[in-house]
Amino acid sequence: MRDEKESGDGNGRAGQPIPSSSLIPRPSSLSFSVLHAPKEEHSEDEYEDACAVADGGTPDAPVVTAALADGASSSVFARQWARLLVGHFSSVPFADGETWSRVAGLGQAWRREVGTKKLAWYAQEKLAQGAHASLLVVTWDVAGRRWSARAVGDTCLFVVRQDRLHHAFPVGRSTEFGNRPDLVPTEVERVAPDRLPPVHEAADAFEDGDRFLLMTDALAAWFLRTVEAGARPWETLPVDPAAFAPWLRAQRESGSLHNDDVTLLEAVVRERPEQAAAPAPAA
Amino acid sequence: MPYTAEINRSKPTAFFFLIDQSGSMDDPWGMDGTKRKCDAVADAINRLLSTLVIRCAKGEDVRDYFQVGVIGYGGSVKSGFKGALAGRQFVPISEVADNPLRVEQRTRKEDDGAGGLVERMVRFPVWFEVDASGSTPMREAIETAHGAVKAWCELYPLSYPPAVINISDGEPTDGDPSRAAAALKEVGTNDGKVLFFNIHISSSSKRPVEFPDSQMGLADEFAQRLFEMSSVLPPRLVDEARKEGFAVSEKSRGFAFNADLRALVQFLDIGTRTAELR
Repeated sequence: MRDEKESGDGNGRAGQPIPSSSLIPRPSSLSFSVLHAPKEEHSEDEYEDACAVADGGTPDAPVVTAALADGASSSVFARQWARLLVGHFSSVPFADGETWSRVAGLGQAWRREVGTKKLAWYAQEKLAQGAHASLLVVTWDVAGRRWSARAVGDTCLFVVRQDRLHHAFPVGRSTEFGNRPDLVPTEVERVAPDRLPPVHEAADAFEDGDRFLLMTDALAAWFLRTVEAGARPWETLPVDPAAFAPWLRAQRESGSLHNDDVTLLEAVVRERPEQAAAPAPAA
Repeated sequence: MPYTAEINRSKPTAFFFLIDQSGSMDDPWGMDGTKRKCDAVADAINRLLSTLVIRCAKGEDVRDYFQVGVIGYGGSVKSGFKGALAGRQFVPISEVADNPLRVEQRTRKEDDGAGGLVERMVRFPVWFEVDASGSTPMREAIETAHGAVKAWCELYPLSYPPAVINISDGEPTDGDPSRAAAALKEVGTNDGKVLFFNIHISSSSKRPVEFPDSQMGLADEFAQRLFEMSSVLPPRLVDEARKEGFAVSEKSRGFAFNADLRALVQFLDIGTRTAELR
């Protein structure tokens, strides 16, 4: 399944169409596409990743933010938690010192959403354990031509520039993936501040032609293993949804890709034709 | 590599519990004189079944990653399930979830996230009732398990192999069960042989032993025999036990002697933490 979205002029807001004209200079634009698939033999209803892209910032300083979360399979109502996280963190800028209080507020929203139903004993018991998800948030400062990222857990960002892996974040080696990644919990209040997982950060400039590949852990582990074997996974990875499903099945069957929910969110920095053709501004 | 099959609904795994319900289980328990051995075992089994259900609970559904069998042996070998599940051999975990005999309210101490403990009311479903009478036909119970898991493995040849978990105070009255145990451990799926774990519940107050890698320090010949009958832990379970703080080696066996209730539940929990659930 694939969804496409163009962004980059800074006037759009979460969930709103982006105006076709703007007075803001457009040094570049970002085009997004998403591919996703549930675990093999699972239905779409059982898919527990979530992603969102939203425009923000101001007309003078437009930003675009993408968020990708992977609801932990061992949690109950993990899909709802992943959706709440990406909905919030794609549309409200990250602010140091506020992360966990905002997550606590989202945890309350999650409990309101899932806790009002009449549930069997096991769902009630599991509800008390809360839900967990890894989270990756990437923001592009369109005018400043810089990106920044924050992550909890093993949902990854790879930046490919001029046919080379330019950046791997927050996991740098395939051996770092395991069964117990750091996760964002719904029940933040029950975790002592010094036991909360670290929020990793990275930032850099971007250039026209850069490919940003955001992916959940199973695909990210395959990606890094392929790089470590000396190959270029960004060339192998199908971008066509018709080719993605059979490719994924083949990788899973051969054991080279773990059977897990998979989400690939790709952002490509494209030079706009009108910008490319425009005369250089007067000094 | 054995013991690595992914567990999903088309390739579930199975747990088969053999519970000693003989008269001697009515005796006080060495590690907690206020409790009878049969009470401690019933609590541990019920808590474990609850843990297995919760592990498979996704929202309002319970996914059938596991099938569970329970037999009791005291005087004779009989189904451990009662009520709607009476007489069933392997029951999908979703049916176990929906058919406890009753759901009690109990308090449980839990980590408060800051190094302390808080008490929380929990729902405590009961499937398995306390019973303690008659002789100890352990050999027959193991032979029954053999027949059941052999048939199960033929149905699910690609699955992670079943674990058979025997909880007893150790002294069979129907002869040496060693040969039956050896035959049981020969059964398996393409992913590995059946895992046979033993928990020795004793009236003695001797020091508990969990996941030993030799017979050294075991209290008596019955404990030694149960150790000998137990499977060597697969590497993943060695890792899980190590993470929980147990001193284990690659020769450690799925055997516990006189574990207190907390360690007993932990042992059962580790024994049932198989490959990743998908």
